[in-house]
Amino acid sequence: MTRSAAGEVGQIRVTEARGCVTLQDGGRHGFQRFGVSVGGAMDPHAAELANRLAGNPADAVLVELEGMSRLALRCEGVSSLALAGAIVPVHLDGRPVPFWARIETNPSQAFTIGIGTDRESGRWRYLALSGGCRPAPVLGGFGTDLRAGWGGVEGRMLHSGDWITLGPVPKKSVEHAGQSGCHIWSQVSARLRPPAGTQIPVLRILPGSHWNAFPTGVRQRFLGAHYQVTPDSDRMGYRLSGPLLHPDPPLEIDSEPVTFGSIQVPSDGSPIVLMADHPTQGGYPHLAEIISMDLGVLAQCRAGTEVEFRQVDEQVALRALRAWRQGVARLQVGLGTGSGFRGEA
Amino acid sequence: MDSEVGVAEAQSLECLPLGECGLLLRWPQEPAPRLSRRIRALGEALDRKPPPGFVEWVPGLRSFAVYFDPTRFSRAAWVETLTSFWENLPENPDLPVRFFEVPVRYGGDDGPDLAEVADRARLDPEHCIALHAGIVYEVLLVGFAPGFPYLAGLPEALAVPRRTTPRLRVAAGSVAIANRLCGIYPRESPGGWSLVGRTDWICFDPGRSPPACFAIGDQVRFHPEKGSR
Repeated sequence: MTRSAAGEVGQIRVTEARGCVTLQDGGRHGFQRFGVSVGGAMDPHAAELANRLAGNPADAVLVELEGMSRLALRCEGVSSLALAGAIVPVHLDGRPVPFWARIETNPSQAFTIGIGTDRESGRWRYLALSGGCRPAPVLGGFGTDLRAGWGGVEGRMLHSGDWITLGPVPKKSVEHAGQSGCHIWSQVSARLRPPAGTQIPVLRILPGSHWNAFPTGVRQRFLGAHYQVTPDSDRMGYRLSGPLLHPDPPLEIDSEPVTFGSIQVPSDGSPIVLMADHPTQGGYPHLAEIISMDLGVLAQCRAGTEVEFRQVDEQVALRALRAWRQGVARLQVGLGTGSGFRGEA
Repeated sequence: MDSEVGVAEAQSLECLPLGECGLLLRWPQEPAPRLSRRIRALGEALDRKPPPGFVEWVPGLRSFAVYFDPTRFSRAAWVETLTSFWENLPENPDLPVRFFEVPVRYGGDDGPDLAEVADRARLDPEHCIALHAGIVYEVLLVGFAPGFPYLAGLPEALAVPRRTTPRLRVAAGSVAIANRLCGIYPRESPGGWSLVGRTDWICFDPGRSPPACFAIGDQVRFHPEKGSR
């Protein structure tokens, strides 16, 4: 320890940004009654882990990158950072750094971080920096709403030349900082990470508010088939192609609240899963709801990926939610006591 | 009409799941001002006494969603709480409703569907404007897009179904109709309603509190600006 940077405010300068790179947080809650989308990270669990690893609150503001986007940042006053989500090559001052790990840096030294692309990995990745990004709040939230044009940096994707202020460096993380370079302090256990591999993702669902309007045979078709994520999927919704689904008799819906994970079926019969930037009201039959723990699994599916659905009991959804929270709490303990492994990156 | 609605309401209020962190109440009757006002009052009652783990409430046209942390207050407890709130609401809650007069430029480029609406109604466009601007609407719901008001009261002669092919781009401020509802698009967006006019009225300002101009129960009248046709 040569100096304490606790309380010092960091900042980052964007030196390159291509594609959909935005600031996101845990969402804008309490304004859906005025028609305002919740928004927030598309893979909420990857975002939460990135934040926890970086020593931030779960819903701190971080950088979200989609698919083939690319980013380079010049960082100052950063004591730790973490990457989570779809893995791509990332370099810190030219040296490769891993995902799903806490990277300790010296807050008194500036460094450059470059995030590359990879066609093969998932769709959304997150960079959390100690202290969290501190854009101006809009309606109680900090995340970028591209359609509304607010939140994050001027309601838009990051551009080269943007400056972003960070919150004060947490004192605890400064104590661990080495003289120079970066160290891996702790890694997320594989149990908390989303399942990787070539298996078809299975998304667990609960019946939606119009589940009973779909005949049993239609529901069985939905649960027995593979659906493919189509290219016209975005932060608002993922469209799926597969067996067509129709309620019987046809339903006219009076606008009704919908949420992240709601599976709606428009009159053409192809289901749409509403994602983070969904409108607050839906006008189509609501077939099912993806359990909150599986939202990130779907979010990470690129166009062309096949998924299948499995109906579960509400208790299963609650157990999954509790298990996640306990896992994250244990991770916190690991970070707090320094019980994680430490090694040169 | 209100007494009939009351009977239907007693028959079945559905409590439906909206994922493990949400609950949807759905009433069996048609959307109507009285129901919407009571839905708003339900939300305001919840704001005054929120159970632990409450996140937010969202009204629908004849529904009401609440989002919550199910590990802090169970679904069963939520159903009981909401039902009890609902049953204890006055029949006609006292809401601070306001009256707005909204200037509109009808027809032409501002309301490209006015002629078609007039054709369907077998009226001339001037008559349609007079009908549209001749009554007081009531806000049933604000939602879909930030500040978008769903207005009840459209005269039956002007009722048109949603357009079969939605427009990819509807100009901000467009005054639009569909079925028996009227709405104002607060910002440029896709939309399937028929466009009869346009206003400069600001429906939403994120810097204001509350950010939406209109609230459920507010009264709105449209005022044709000079040059409308």
